[in-house]
Amino acid sequence: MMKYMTWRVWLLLFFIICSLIAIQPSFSHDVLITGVDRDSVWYREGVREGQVLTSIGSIPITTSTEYQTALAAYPVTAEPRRVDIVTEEGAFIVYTNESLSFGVKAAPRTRLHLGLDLAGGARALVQPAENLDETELQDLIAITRNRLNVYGLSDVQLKGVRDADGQAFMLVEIAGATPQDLEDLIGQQGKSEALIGNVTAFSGGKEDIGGVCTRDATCAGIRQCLPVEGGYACEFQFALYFTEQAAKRHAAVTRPLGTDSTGRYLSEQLVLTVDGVEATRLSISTGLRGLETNEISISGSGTGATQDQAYKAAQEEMHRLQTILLTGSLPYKLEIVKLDTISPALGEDFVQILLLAGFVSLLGVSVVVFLRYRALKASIAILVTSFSEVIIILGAAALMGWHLDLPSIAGILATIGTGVDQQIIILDESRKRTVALGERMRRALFIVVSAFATSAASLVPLYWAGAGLFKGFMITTLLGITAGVLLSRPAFADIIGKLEEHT
Amino acid sequence: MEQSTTEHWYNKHYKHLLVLPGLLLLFSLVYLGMFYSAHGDLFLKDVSLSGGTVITVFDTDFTPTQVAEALASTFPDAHIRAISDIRTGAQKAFYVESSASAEELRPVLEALIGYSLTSINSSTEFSGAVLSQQFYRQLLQALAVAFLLMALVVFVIFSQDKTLKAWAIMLTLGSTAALLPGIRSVSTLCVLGIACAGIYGMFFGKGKRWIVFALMLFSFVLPSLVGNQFWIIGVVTGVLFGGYAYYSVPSAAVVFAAFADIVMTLVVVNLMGMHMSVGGIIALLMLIGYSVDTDILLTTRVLKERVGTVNERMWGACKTGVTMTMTAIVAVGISLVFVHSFSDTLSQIFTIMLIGLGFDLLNTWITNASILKWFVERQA
Repeated sequence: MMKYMTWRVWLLLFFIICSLIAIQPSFSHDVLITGVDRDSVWYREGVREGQVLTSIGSIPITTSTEYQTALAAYPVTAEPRRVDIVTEEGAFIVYTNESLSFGVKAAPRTRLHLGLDLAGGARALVQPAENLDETELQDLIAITRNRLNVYGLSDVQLKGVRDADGQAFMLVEIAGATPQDLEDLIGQQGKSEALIGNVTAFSGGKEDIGGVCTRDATCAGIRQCLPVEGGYACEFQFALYFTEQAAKRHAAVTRPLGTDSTGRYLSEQLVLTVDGVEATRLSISTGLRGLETNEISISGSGTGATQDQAYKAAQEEMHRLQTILLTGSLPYKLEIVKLDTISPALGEDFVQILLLAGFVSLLGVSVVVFLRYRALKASIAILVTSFSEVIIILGAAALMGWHLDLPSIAGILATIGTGVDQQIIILDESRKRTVALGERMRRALFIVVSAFATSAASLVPLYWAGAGLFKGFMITTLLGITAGVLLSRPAFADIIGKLEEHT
Repeated sequence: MEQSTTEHWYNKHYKHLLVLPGLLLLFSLVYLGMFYSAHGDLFLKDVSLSGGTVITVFDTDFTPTQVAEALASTFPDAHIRAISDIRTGAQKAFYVESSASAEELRPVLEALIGYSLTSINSSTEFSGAVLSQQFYRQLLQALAVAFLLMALVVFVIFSQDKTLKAWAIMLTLGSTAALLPGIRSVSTLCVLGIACAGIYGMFFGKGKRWIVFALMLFSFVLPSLVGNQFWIIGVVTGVLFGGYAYYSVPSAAVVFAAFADIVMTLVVVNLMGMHMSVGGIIALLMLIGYSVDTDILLTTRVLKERVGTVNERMWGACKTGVTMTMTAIVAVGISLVFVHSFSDTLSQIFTIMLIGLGFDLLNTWITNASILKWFVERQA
């Protein structure tokens, strides 16, 4: 074995080991929390997405099946009872009659990240109405991130991208969010204004809004649900705290107003608009006339065919208004030009099929090579070298935090094909006896490097096309062919050279 | 004896062999021209390139035929396919592709299957029509740039004349900057490349310096000259490829073979009625890489090897090259079998590559080989 170990083979081996360290394959059986309902008691007590679940009550959790057992052990009850949840990040004691309402999955066994089209989630490509320069694009991303954080969406990836025309886009990827969330939060600029008799009393954002009550049930929540024609309507209410400047303006605007026919409210209503569309209309109590109040109560409603649907609609609307009022408007008018919501349902099966396809392809190629050359060692060397290229690509992807999506995987499969092609060139050149072995290898590597240069040149433009949505293909292919030309093919040439020397 | 007869026949008829790919290419170009006049494009496009929605429903009860029947009146353009398990063949989901929006398509599907579509039981992908058409144009521009750069690299490898190399680099980089106008880093790199090539051509080349200088200036201003007038790029490309053909026949033969691979593949794609997706265009890019590998092998062996006759060198290259293409066909074919029932995108990528690899055998070992042999014999 050691007779094949030249410095190039050692170098390849070193990179394979580094790649394996980067990938960090593990055999742990952790269970990860994947989603917690923001309005649930679990969320209020601190249970969050991404925590590693250790036990629920006396049931240790090491598999999803054990979580199912815990789920059965804690059904909805009439009376609240104590539930002890232990995660690696901390322990939580919850008194509730609710059942466990958070999603779990087996923790990833490697540091490889799967792209949205394999792992599931929502992705939006958002185009500002005007083309933005780099500073403006980064500002937009910062404000959007703030809005998504306030809304409670975690595991969000936001990045600015440009297409081949230089048009700026914001790419938003969120695991677990619904497209409706994205449309509500990003599709709208969210310019909120409160008008009293066509005069602006206050606007959303930190200049006028000192705070918004969101989590405290005494100042924010669903107040009542009533049957209405065609279903149910639920009313929400939350407190809004003004800055001093807004309080003064509110006083100035309400001071000259008279009273309405009931005598209980002022003659003009407060109309809250979002992006110019009326969101809710509130009557103002006469007691607030000319008063520099720091707090008002905003109410509104949500409707649905059933009470549950109405409750949920009201909760969502409340949450949206709270977020928009707190974060202010986005600085540009935005349009969601591409919106994908991918279910994780088939992701795992698909990854298995792709792995199997890659492995069987390599095996098939080795059989063809064996039939052609009748050389078992050379065939095995091709198999091992191609496999090493795949490991190096995956290692680099893990190190870069690159999310392996469908185009990336197509790139890996392409690399296997081109890699094998070039190893065949090396193998064939090495078997000619007409010139010295060194010269044959140099000639083989000239062809390999030339082919690399043409492939690389033809791949690079893909980096910019389509706002970078397809650059995964370019990145994995380029990684693969570069690793091939710098590491694996020189090592393969050495191995074949040694094999030839010994025959 | 047998081989010498074959060799004799080949030596006598290798030029005639060019008629076969020549006719095929002529037919392909005429067919594509007619296709273009009928459809306004070189191929049919799916929603990823024309805009629309794809909804995948993880439902095993409704067959694609049932769904197609139910949607026929409301969404006549809907395309429905099943996703099935490769091991058992059982349906795991079906997907519907239509130019309609998700808001239009979803309620009709929900009414058919009888339950609400959520992010757990379905996937929805929507692309706006304007964006898709924008991406489509950009992908074609990327394909054009890829082809230009590939041709340039081949010319630089096989041409001997430093001045001509500088000319080719300047014009190609000028065209690249014009085709990717919005990317500042590309423009900067192209300007630097043009300047370096110009200086190299003026001081190390044999041609007249003022011509190199004039060409350098022209390449600098080319992006602003072009704007939306892409025909100017067409003219520059014509000049470039004409130059390759005139000054370096082997380079032109490689480029010609790659071009023929793509054109012939597109014809088969159209004959199969395939709707091209983003994946399809990526496959064409992959095809450039795959096809050029064997052409470079052939050209290097024929031009740079000094041992054996031209036929022997070509035959040696052919044995290696055919093995390469066969392994690629095996790898791609096996992958296609695995992903066929699961992913339309990957399935299309592998189908197009399989077709292209087939044509590559023809265009490398008949078209390119015959041109090369002709060239070498004329040189001798």
